[in-house]
Amino acid sequence: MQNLLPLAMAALVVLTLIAWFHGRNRAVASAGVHPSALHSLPGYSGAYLAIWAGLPAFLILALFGLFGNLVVDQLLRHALPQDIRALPVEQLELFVRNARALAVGGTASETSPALLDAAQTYASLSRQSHVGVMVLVIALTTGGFFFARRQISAKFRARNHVEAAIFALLVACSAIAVLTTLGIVLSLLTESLRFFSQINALDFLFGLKWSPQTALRADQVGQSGSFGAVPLFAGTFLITLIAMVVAAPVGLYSAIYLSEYAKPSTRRIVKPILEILAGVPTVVYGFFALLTVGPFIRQTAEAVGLGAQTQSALSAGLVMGIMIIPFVSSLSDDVINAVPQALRDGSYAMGATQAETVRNVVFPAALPGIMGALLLAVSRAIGETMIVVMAAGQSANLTANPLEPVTTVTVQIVTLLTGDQEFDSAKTLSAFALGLVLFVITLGLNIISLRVVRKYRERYD
Amino acid sequence: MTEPVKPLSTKVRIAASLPRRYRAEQRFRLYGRAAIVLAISALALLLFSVGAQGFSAFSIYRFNLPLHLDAKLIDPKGTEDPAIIAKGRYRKLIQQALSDAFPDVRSRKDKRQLYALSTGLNSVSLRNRVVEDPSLIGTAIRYTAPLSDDLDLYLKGEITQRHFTNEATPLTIDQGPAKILTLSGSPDTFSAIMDQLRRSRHKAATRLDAQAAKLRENLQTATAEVAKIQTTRIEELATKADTMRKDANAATLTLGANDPSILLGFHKGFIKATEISPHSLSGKVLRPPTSMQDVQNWRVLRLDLPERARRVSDQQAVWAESLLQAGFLKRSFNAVFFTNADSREPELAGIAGAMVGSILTLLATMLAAVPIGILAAIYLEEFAPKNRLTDFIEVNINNLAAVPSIIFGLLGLAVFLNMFHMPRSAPLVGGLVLALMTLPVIIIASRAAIKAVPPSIREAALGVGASKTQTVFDHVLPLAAPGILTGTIIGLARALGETAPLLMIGMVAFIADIPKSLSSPATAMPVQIYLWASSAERSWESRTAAAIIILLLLMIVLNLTAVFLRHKFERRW
Repeated sequence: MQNLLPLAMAALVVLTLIAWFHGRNRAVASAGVHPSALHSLPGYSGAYLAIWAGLPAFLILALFGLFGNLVVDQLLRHALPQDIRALPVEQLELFVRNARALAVGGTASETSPALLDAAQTYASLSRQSHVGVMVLVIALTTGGFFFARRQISAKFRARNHVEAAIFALLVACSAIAVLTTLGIVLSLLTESLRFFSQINALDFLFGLKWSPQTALRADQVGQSGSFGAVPLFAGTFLITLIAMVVAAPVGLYSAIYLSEYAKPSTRRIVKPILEILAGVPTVVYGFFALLTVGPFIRQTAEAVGLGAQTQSALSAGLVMGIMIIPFVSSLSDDVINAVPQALRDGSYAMGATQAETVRNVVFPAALPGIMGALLLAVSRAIGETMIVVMAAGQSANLTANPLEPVTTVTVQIVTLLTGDQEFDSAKTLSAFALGLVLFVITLGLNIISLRVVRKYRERYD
Repeated sequence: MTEPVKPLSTKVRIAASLPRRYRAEQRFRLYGRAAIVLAISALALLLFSVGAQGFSAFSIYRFNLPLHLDAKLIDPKGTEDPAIIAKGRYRKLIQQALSDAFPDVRSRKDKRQLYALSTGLNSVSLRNRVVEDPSLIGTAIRYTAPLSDDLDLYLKGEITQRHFTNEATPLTIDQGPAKILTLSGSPDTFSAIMDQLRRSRHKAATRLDAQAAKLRENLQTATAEVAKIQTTRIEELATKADTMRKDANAATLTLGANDPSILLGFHKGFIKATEISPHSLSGKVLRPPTSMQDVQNWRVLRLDLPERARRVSDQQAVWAESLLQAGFLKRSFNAVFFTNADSREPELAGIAGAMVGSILTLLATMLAAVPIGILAAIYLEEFAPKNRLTDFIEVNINNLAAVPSIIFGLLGLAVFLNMFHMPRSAPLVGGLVLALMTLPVIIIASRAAIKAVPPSIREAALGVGASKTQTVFDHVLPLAAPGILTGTIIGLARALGETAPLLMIGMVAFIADIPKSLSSPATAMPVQIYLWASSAERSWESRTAAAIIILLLLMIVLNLTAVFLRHKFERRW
């Protein structure tokens, strides 16, 4: 039953092609000996017929592919005996999953007579739903085909109809970008609200202790789980600070040198090289931080008599700084280039040197844009995941010492959501709350910086 | 400032300040240059360190031994039933082959060490070979398999440097008590070795002194209780260092657990030195020599890292050296790395599974993101009215491009996995998540490309009676295609290197098979790199770096394609 869907899709594609040819031929035939009597090109009539025949059925199949299992699961739940439906949520979920696995010939983690019964019910429900959908698809295809076929004639404005359909498609595609944002906000919000129904939001935002291990059973002691996220915010802040201390001067000075001093030939070579830094996958930076920078920092620190570990805020921050150099430099480069030449000429005419011009005229003029670029870089650093996961450590230290391992918001999201997850536990849900905080902060920074950069550009355009 | 300010003319004052201002100018330029040099050298260091670490993983030591496919161990009743052949004791056969190569190994403990030269998983490939060709049963074959990863590292000199010295002074052999041989030669034969040992002992003693000194420094700040413990520790260290120095200066050196290993090879055998004086050396036999006649040519293998600090014992090192000398071990191209999926054993682990996973994921990304991205760009650039809503969409897309990638992973987890119950770890889901992430990049690039098409093209098309849709799809889009393609490839290259969202949807599991479809469990190259980088064993390091090299090469190819397309089709209007 499972592999019926691709087959149905393939059949639908063939039917749609047939509809296209048929529609085209019918339009040509209806025009008779005067092809110029056609309102639209015959291809449009073909497309019109193909859309009517294929599109509704395609949508039904796609929806069924996405939600079919869900519907069958739900039906199964209603068909289950009373005692099983009374099980706790997790066990019921497991039961349904096992029944599904048995029904499709997979392996279940346990078997019992009740489970085998449920599997049979599942299989029959699944069969019924498949048959139902197939009947619906066939009905839609034939219905659409004959409905559209009747309309095709020489005078029929097929092009206008097809173009309306294309227009709808275009709008739908642009809506996906908005839907993504909506999806992010909604999914983060709902899961976070569930988290905040268990844990006080103020405790989460201002608590000083982070140890998300919760008790598995009610009678377990010791593992109460505390969700104070301040150590994570502090760790994120510390690493971001180190990264910006590296990236801001290096990025800014390279941007200034490239746009004000460098020969065009130098610029042509150096700019792409700097951009390679932005293209290197972050996991590679993580590896670099873990195996090259981390040990180097540890040895250096030990040589001068300081205690240090391979995983530290410093190594993660330094490497992250290297990663965001190109963001700072290319954005600032754009901004500096946008400063009108007249301002520089005026300054030179007053007898200022080039450095004085840059420092006292170009830089202040470009300052808002540069601030925007720096904010964008900060938001990048806060949201960066792999470098910190690999190089910063997992222990939630509340410290300002860059030689100690710290943990960040993104590290904790990864730690909480990889590996075995407990259903609906505060531990799992807290990852979404952290994600929400991360999203809100980065979104705020992005909006501010994009607005600043744009406003600034408008001023000189 | 102390002398009275003289009224100067502006000209003089400026002339006086010029040197300072020019110096400032020079400094400013220098800062700029330094920043660029710094950034570029960071990149160079990154690439160099990855390259240096990954280079060795492209070759591997493989042993090539005669192996008798004993029918008794595979198919004792001669049934020729594939099911029975598949259950044969292939592991035992490989162990037999190793035992045959070193017949002197008797004790259980030694045998276990010997068998560790080949991982147990090697039996799988032998089984497959026999199941494919049952006529091999009962015959002798040449069996080739990768050497265990620790010994591979040892032979590559990555555990400790293998210092070989060849000597040609005559030595006589005396049989000592059980398993001990004494070699004697002219005075000073072994002086050079002794000097080396002495130096290393002195170095170790200095290290102890440094440790003690550090403790002493901390003494002032420590509490009384801690100070007491530390004082005893300091005394211990000092006595230890003293004994070490005294031992180092003795006339006869007895080698202990903290000393480097000195292995002496002659007559195809090896002994491990236990006692050295300038004219004689006694040692434990690790591999018996073929004869007890006087030795003319011999060699010394010094391993500076003491035996207890490494995962390869002296005994195993000797076996590996013997196999190498006899030609049973060869260093060759590590083809397994390119044909296998992940494995628990580093020597059998490969990148093929992750590569196929990445390709499938990227395929899903491309199928979803490219059409949607281009169509959305067309709408926004060509059709959308300028109003609040389209403004909102535009701001939205720009913001989406800057949302951290891990948030997209959370979205995928909440929507695709928890809501739609799509399969975990599947390239399809990974591809969709990456598609949502890449979408803004493609839209922004496509809009720029469409915008660059001059209005005259549109006006001409409209002028001859084309509809708006026809104008866009038949005239504007083909002209914007190269730009769109370039932006798309760059977006996909970024998706190829993305890790964090894939971790969220479970593509981080250990997967030992090459994925076959969009919905089978898979992992991707960057995730594989992350997984290997978090493994503790040393041999993963070089493999991680090798995987990075391959990933970077793929990304470079993608980006160069984009650059090439841009140059080839770029048109200035």
